[in-house]
Amino acid sequence: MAPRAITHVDMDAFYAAVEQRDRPELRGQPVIVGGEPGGRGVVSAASYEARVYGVRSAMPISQASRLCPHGHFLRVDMAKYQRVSAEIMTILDAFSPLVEPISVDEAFVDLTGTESLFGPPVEAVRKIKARIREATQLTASAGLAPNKFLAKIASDLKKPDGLVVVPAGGEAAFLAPLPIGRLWGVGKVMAEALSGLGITTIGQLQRMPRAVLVRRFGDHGADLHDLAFGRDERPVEPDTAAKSMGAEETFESDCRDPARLATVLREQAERVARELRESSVAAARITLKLRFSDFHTITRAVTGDPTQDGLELYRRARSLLDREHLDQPVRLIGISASTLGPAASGQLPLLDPAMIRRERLAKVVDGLAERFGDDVVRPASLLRPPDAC
Amino acid sequence: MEVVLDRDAFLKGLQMVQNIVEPRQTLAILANVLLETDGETICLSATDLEVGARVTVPARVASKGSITISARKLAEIVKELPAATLTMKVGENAAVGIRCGGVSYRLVGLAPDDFPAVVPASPSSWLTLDAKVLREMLSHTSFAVSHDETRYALNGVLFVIQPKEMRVVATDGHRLAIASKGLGQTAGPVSGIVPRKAVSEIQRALGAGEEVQLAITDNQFVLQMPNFVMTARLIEGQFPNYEAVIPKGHPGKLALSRPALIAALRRVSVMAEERNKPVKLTLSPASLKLSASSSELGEAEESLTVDYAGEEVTIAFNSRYFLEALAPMEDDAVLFEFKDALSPGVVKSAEDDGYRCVIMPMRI
Repeated sequence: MAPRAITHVDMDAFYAAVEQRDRPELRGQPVIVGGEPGGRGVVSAASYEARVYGVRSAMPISQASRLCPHGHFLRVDMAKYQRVSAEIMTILDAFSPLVEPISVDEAFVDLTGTESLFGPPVEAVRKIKARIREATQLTASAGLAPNKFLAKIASDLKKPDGLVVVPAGGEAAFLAPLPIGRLWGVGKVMAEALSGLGITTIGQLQRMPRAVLVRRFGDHGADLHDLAFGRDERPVEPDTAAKSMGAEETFESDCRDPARLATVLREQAERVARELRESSVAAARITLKLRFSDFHTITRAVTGDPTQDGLELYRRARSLLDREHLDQPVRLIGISASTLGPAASGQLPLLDPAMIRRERLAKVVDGLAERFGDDVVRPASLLRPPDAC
Repeated sequence: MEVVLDRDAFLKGLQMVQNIVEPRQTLAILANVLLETDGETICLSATDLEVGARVTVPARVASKGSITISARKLAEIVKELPAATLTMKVGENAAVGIRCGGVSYRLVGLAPDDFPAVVPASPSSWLTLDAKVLREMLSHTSFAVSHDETRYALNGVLFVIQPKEMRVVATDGHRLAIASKGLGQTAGPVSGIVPRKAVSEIQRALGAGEEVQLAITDNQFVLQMPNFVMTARLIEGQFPNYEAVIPKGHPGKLALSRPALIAALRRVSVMAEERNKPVKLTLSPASLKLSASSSELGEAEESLTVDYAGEEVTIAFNSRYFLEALAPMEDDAVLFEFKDALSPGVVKSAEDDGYRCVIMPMRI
């Protein structure tokens, strides 16, 4: 197979950059998007000015406000970012039919075979970056490589406004100087295990005999060895249907009240169920996520008959919650639905005749929500005002 | 420990317990089978902490003792050995020597101290049954057990022992299979949900023409036969009110040839959508038409001549549910009872009305 030309386009500090664009007074200032400074969420995006102070994505807001007390803390305005994202994706679509958005601010584009239209791939990437800047006044960083894995690493190397090219045949040399933490599947634990073998860079990993890695880490060792040489055959898949849908919430103050946890879970289940119904899919796997006050995070999952019923999602998540021993207050609770498949098998239930009524009810409620907003009709158990914990 | 025993008997014993051992265990010793001498026999035990079994095999005991050995390896070895006398001897450091014909093995064993004992409860009363009857009741119901791990209470078979009657019930929320048998003895009332794994092990262990004894205590199901005992922890949880979903007095009744119905369902369902294999049954005077269609594949239909004079009605079912209900029935004739497109249909044996399967239709 001829080498492919795949680019990973990643917007620079996207949420923060959008805010700085729309509010000139914030330009050149540290901007942190993701909740109030006194609040309890995490940082969704930090402008480069804020990063100077050590503020990073996914850091608790409280920590960010200690590091950068004079920063401008803004709430996430997802609707706005999604509008900008749609503009960007439209630009990408003009360069290739194979565009795979990964999130609101990044996507893979397969430029293989587009030379006659846009010139060499690296020229196409320059054009993409220029078009994005013209249309949105925002900068993107891009990586261009023979596969997705390398393109993604490359886009991250020269942020902001970078462009890094990995030539076909130069995969191993490109990776060699990078730390092993850049490889997929190498988290803290794996990195420690590898450094025990004297491996801290990808180049050292490349020189390790494959058999040694397999003996030490099993199949994962073989995968690591492949990755170290930059091998990745995955295609760019446009319009990938969602693989999971979920909702989660960080409490304003850590929650010890099981009833309150259950109420939040019920509300999340309804939201996820509606999302499933909107996409006409049903989920077989339900995952409960809990983060405790010490940030220890657990997930628990069950697989069952596919469902898109809010009450059923809640029952399953609730049974997982009930099995957990909550010896610490809960900081975050979330539910996600995965193993998605076609909805409406048509099989009628024998034991839960009320399910048919709930299905009909959900249709009506979804219709009302579409016209009057999500909260127009809710289960009675969610009507009481949110309690303090 | 040193014992001499017959290879065939040893293999048969091992096969009665080895499936209890899970491929992955929480405790290393659970991968092993426990061997212990008991008089002129050797006992083989296996457990996964939920289900346990113990089988007794005659042996000549040269010296008493006990040891645990990897169940998988031991079964693999004994399966390949010639049909001859086998000698097993435990030496230093839990090393186990096996000799049979000209072959010899040395296996690394584990001391039996940490092996969880398979302890049957001592129930106040036992119910005695013909093994064939129990096997039949389970084959008529176990196919309907749910694999949905979010519904624990449905992941097993409900045993209900009442004075004069025993029932076995299984359901996955779409269909429900029930087997009832009159009892010649007074027992119960007691009930419990027996996990799916134990049910399949019971079906494997039940021979022909034997008598079995079973008992249900607060949290345990116990089954014993000569030389064999199995225990299973009952599934906690509320089994649904199965009696409420069994339709009573459906207006439509139809006698059908079981082999003809099975053949027609198989032929027609070839063209049904893969996931739920829906097949439509359309009844009109003197005719039962089965049909299936899929937008990608095409369609199929077949008509059977039946003794029916009522109104026309069309009901769709998952054909797999129908076929699974029909498979264990042994009579040539079956009865199908129905009401309308949204009400459950009932398939039952024409001769033995103790076997019934209630199947919820699919929406067409």
